[in-house]
Amino acid sequence: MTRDAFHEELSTYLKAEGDRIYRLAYSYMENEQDALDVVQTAVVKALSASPMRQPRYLKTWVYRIVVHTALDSLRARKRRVLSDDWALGDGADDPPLDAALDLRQALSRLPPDLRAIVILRYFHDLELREVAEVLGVNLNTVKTRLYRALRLLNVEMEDDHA
Amino acid sequence: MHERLAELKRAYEATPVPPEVHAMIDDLCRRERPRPRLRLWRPVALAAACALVVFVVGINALPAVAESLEEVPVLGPVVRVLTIARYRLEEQGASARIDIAQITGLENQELEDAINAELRADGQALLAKFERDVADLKERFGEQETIRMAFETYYEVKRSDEEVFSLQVEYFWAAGGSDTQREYYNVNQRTGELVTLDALFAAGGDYLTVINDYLIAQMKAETREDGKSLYWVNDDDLEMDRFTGIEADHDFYINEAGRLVIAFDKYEVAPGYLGTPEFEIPTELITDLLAEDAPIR
Repeated sequence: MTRDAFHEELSTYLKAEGDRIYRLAYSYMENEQDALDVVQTAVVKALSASPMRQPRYLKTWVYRIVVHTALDSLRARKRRVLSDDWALGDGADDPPLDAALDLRQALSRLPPDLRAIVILRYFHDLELREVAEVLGVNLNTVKTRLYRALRLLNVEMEDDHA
Repeated sequence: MHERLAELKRAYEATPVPPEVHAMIDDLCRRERPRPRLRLWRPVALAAACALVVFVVGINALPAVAESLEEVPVLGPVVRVLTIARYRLEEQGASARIDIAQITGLENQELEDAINAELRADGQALLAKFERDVADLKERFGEQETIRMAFETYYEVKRSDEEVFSLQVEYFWAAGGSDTQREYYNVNQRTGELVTLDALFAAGGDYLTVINDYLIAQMKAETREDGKSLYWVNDDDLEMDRFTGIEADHDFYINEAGRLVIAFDKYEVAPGYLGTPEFEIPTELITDLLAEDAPIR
């Protein structure tokens, strides 16, 4: 595909998927301004990708860029926060969540790698192999993490996740 | 789907999306046109005199100060880098420190013109982006709000002698986060040609594997407290982050010692706080693979 044709196709996709891209960014950043910053950076990255890196699957490629940008932004934020002497965990070491906790809160307390899998699989309706591609981990890792995430969310295990 | 998940999905889909998301994406799609890179096999049509006129008109059309020719110090004997325009803009806290430089003294005039045209275009694109971004932010937040934004350019001659001329141009911008993009222009002074990685090596040799094995080993050797690498070469790093090797069009320069240096942009192989990593390749690793006229020692 030529650069211009690719740019055209990508622009069309980005314009149509603005809501979904923003929600994915928001699910990591959890505030509007940071989510908007992530969308902006990710869109610029996608639009300025070199022809050599043109993807086979637009959707998983764009999602990967959004996730990558959000994670980098979170790392930057964590460093800022830590340097201000705030000790803020990422939830990774928290005990299993109580069933009584509000479900949304439970979701936002999941470690980012587990939360991302739930969000991509169930809210963005990606296949598990697409989730694996977006997050850059293998399919078995996705399955294991999804199992852990559902357990932490106190969702009864059913076979629909596999 | 499990009822609890269905409930969560409804909540997720109810996340309010600020209306400016769409305007922003539309706007970015319009602005971020794919940028044609320097193509040497195509003759450059723009005559030098014509380019200069266009450029002067360009300067005058902008609210900026263009100063007369000034030499960047510490340079080699023949090739010189001149700053032909300096833009120093301050607006509501946003600052631009953008210089536009030109090369003189290359043997290959066509190559010199091509590089200079690209230097002008890139510098002016950065300036235009600064002005658009300031205007945008003023529109969104008003005339009173302080805009924290800085755009800067840096030129550094990595090597200049009778063998090689290597120029590094750094485009830096900060607005919340920051990013640094570097471009390298390496000229073989003996042949007058722009040096590419391929041209440094004899045909058929698998120099990329040798270089990549070395780079990855070096990256893995620099570890954090948890024993993992600082660079994105760990097995559990995101696949899209993970560095698996450079390609033949990767950024590099040749330093004063005559060594090949592989350069990375910010975020390319490591988190932002590692900046723009560089790796000097030991010549003994690649010596058997080098082309005969490669200006590497």
